[in-house]
Amino acid sequence: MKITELHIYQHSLDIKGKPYKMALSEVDSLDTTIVQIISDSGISGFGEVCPLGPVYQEAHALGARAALCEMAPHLIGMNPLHYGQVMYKCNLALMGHLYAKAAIDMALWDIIGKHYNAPISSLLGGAKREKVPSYYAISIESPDEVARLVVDKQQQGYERLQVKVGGRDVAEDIAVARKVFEVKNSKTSIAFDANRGLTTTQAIHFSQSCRDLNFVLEQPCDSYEELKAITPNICHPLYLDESASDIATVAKAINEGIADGFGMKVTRVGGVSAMRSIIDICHTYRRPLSCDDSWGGDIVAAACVHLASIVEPSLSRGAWIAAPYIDKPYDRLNSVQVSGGWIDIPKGPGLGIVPDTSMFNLYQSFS
Amino acid sequence: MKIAKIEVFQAHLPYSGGIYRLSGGREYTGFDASFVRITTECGIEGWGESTPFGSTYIAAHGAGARAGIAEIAPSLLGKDPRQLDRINETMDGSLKGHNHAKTPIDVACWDIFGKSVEMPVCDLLGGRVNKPLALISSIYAGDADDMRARVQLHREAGYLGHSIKITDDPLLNAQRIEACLEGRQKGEYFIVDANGGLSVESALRLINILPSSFDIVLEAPCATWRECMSLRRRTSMPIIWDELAQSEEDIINLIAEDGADGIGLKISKNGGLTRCRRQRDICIAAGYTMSVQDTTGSDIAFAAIVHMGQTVPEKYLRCILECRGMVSLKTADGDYVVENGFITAPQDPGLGISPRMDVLGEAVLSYS
Repeated sequence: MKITELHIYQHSLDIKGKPYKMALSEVDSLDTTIVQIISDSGISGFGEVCPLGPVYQEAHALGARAALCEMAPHLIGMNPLHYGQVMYKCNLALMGHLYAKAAIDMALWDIIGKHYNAPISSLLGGAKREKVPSYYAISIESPDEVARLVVDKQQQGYERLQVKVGGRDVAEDIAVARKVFEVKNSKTSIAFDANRGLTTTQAIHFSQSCRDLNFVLEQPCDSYEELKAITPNICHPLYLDESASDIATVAKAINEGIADGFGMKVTRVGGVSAMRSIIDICHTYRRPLSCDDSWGGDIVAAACVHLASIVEPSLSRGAWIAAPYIDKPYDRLNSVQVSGGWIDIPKGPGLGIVPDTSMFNLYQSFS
Repeated sequence: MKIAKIEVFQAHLPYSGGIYRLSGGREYTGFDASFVRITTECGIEGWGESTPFGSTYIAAHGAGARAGIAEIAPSLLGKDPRQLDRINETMDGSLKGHNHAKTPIDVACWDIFGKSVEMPVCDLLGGRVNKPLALISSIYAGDADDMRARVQLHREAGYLGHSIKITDDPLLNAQRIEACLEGRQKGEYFIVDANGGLSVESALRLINILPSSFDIVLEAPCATWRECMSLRRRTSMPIIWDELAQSEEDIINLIAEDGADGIGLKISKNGGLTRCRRQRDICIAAGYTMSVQDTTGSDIAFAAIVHMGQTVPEKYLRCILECRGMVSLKTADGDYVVENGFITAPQDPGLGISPRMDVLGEAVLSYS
């Protein structure tokens, strides 16, 4: 089998309802990039990458497309089933830019799944359950509004809630934490996610002030070194997200005793292949993880859910997908959606998504 | 003073030596250069350049530099180009990371700042050191005899520094180093640069078979932090970092872990003159040596190198890179004359360069 064509599409994902607010940024529409790889056997595969704006981490939509255009010409004629060789070729064409490479990796796995008529989760060792839990991320809000959302989401069936903090007076973050624990039920687990927005002092203060509350602290500070510095002084388990930038950093964070778990993003680390390695590492060292992405439509969501399905349920912290914020699915029939706090694993071969490419703007084609 | 317009120009810079070979089978025949022209409301123009060394030296490429500039440029219109720290904060607020995209903007702002107060950029960066700057050659990996000949050519041109590129075979590398060190003159400085291409094992094998009398510095031995640290603990050979030292944070961590003895300070890799100034000061505080370079580039990139290099006290400076010698296209004119392997920053305001508009052509991106 040979890659004959590669198409890069652009699409705007407008956020349904209010803008999505985090400690360091606020977004109301996301710029996503879709890759379609077409083979001479007639099978085509899809991948997607959608950075959460240009300052969430070192990734942006224009950069993703520039990187894809740099790599694409080198891939024509290669066998898409040999994903290791194709990704090696990508590395020879461009250093770094794992997030852009992830879209290619995802499209290759989609083709492989379709070729062997199996869902990606089956190729990765098999889904351990038929649906995976999602979690809901509550954006920066007042204590009362957060409490209202906690009650609301618990009723909808979510068992894990992530509450955004940071970028304001820590006293308000502490007030939010107190309020959340007044209204949460015993089944709900809570993570407070500062998306890099706290200084080390603020993070320590937040944790110490909430010592009696049982939650996970996710990516409180900007850099790995800052997180390393606070670990002896915080009371809560620490999860890495933005700082867990690749396989090597995940291994190092476990080895150095920094990470009690991870909020993993599929595209950040390089796609399905890299995530499989990270899941193996987390299984070995008994570190919980979620399989998410910063944002994205049905294609990214399907990849997250397939990956989340192969994680041991006791170590799974679910899959976060952007579907609740998106109006128009790429595939009305098979769209990946959250229902009652859970997500069904797509059943079709590959990712199990048949995107309607007429929705997208064609950016560039290679053949 | 306010930024009124930001334009981006593009040029292909052919490599002057045919094919440039780096470890890991990387080959380059030319480079995709981006140039930024910033114009203020009062009509002052400033210039900067970003030329990644191909797309596999670090995580940077020409198209990505322009994509990054496109992301950043709109946020800078109306800002005061003389307030460099504020300019850099605005850039960081528009795009995380991407030093190679921020550099040409930062350098162009320094050029404007200098012109606005009629001072050369080096004098705004702390003041010039009254010593001409020694140049370092860039000897790509090849046959040992050929490399010896190229070192000799540079020696005859007055070069005191030589950066010898190696690949991963210990025996071949040892032959190359021995050949390049032949006929060594007083005051010469040799960097053996692996560009992150060695495993710890092959680095140790190389070090173990080199005569202990060889006075060399090993640069960027391995690709990852862990490997470089492992090697560091097991050799007395001085080590300098390059690709892994891209930010103040990297350098602070490097110093804290005592991982090296110096760094390669490359203007576009390290984020422009504002960030390089901070990194220079951090290095001096730690007693690190530095070689002021860029990934590659033409006359405008070289101007920024010279101005930064001119501010580094002699004790800490290990030559500057004559990147113009690597490319066969002249993009700007200015008082940048090399005399017997040495150069001094010009006294003209700003960078002291006049871009050749017939070479740079029409802007490919424009924001106003």
